[in-house]
Amino acid sequence: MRKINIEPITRIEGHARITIHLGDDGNVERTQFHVTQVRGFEKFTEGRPYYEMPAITARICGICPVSHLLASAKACDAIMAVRIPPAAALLREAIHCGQMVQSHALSFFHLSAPDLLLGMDSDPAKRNVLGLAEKHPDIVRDGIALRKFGQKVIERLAGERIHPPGIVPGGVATPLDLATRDEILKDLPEARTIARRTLDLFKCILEGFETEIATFGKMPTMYAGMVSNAGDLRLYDGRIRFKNADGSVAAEIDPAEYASYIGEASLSDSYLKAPYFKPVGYPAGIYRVGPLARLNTADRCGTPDADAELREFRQRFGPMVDSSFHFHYARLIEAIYCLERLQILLETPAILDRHVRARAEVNAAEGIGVAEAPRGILIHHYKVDENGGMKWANLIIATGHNNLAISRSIEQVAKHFVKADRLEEGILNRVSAVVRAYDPCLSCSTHANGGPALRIELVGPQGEKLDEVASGS
Amino acid sequence: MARDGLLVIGYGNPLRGDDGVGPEAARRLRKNGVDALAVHQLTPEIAERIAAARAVFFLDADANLQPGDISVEALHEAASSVASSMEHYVSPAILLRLAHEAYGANPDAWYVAMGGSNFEMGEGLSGDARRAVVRATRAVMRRYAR
Repeated sequence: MRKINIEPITRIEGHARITIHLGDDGNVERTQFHVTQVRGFEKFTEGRPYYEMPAITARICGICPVSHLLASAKACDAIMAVRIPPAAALLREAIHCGQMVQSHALSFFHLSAPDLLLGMDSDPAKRNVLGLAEKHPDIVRDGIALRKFGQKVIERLAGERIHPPGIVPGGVATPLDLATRDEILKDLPEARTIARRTLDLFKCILEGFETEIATFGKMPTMYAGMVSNAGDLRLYDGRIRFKNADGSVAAEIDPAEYASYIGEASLSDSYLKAPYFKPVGYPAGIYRVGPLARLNTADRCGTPDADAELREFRQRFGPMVDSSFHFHYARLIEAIYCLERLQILLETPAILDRHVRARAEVNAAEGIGVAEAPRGILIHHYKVDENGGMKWANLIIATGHNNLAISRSIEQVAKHFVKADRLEEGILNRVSAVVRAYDPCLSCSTHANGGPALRIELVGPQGEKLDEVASGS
Repeated sequence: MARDGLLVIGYGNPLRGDDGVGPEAARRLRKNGVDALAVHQLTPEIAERIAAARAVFFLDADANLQPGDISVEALHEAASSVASSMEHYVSPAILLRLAHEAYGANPDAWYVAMGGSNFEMGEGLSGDARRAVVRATRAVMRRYAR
């Protein structure tokens, strides 16, 4: 048997390696996805005061710190046993919409658009945002403008673009003033125009990716996403709905019940655990989270433009869209949804209320906070002593939920494209590209340190290394 | 638009001791009326700010410099080839190239490195780093005044 290593995988957040094992006939026998970093936030936060957890865990990630802040603050709310003021809930969700927009813009424009707009087989030296800027400067300007808008929302509402201090246990730190609200509302139409234009562009190029659509993790799995009581898409708060591959609801739970439904398997060759749907077991309980899963689990988005796009999406690909290539499509629909939702939230008069924080001591020994991060469901679960000192923490991160699905998607892509006698860079790029479709954040998922991304290793029938691709750091 | 065409970008992680010299120097310059960004890391959208500037200074920590020392290096020709593609790490050269490709801009640019002595976990600058900050801010103002 021979083996291909891909390390680092590029244009993702974090470090990982892919190993492709070839059989005697030169075909792919199996693949492995290794996440090669560990950081240990769950352990080193033991003993810290619970109210420090939002600020500490936000440092897990520079892309989605708001998600960690929200999940952590919600776990702290539960420890304090408070219901946060309505204005605080509106503001938290508005900040979250800003983060979703900037994160989805980063994923699409800066990380995946080089593959999608320049081509999977294009010159690897130019298959990046600089090459994209050379050929499509208008698209890069759109990406920068959309990301900037999302970051501005975070900065204005929560204090800083990265690791904002404005989301705190019990609510938010500062009420919203009218001038700030109007400033964001003034910029919203341009952001919505860009999101609309980008989705239209993406729909135009889809025809060129029929093979990728058929092979990038096109498989039956379960899905998990947050929904309102009415079944609408929800990103800040709601119930977790698990759907089977056929679209039937497997379970719909209060997030505090997660431990009864989500198990975590440890893998021998990766620091990233593999969550699974407990009632089905491991590994058959594989499920996907993130934009595609959210659109598959929700009945509707709940905003007009996004719902029109969701209807078209389902008309084109069916009620349960099963190719992970369509994470890109779903991400762009969600960007439209977040901008519409942001407008609704900002135009709700109660968002301007001055009372934005509930205060209390420790009233419960345990707290669970759940939010939808850009990449999927994010769970923070804390146990504290009577003084509020952290005794135990469990963090289940979006990319972790997708671990099994990413691994199977890599295998599907590798088996379709990779042959021992043709190891062109463009072929191996597709193996990386399927990982990028999930927009994984491996720094988040293992709560790890930064650094280079992914390496692919090709291993022969006798275990000898035949080739290795390490495309940048 | 950067005030008077000058933009300062100080970057680094203030939670890693002297790695925070860049943001600290940027904040100090901002108090002197300079348009200055204090950020953890360079990100693509900064290219838009660069494109609106006449002169850009990137301020960063350098563990290889003598503690307290600084070095000032002109960053030439934004459109020159950038060996590393934009992936995990965004360098000043990549941002300049992006400003050129996306916005047609070619501002003058300098990289100001500052030597520190403590890059361990924790907030606060060492005396060496504080000296480097003073030197760097003077160097920026002096060069800009020319």
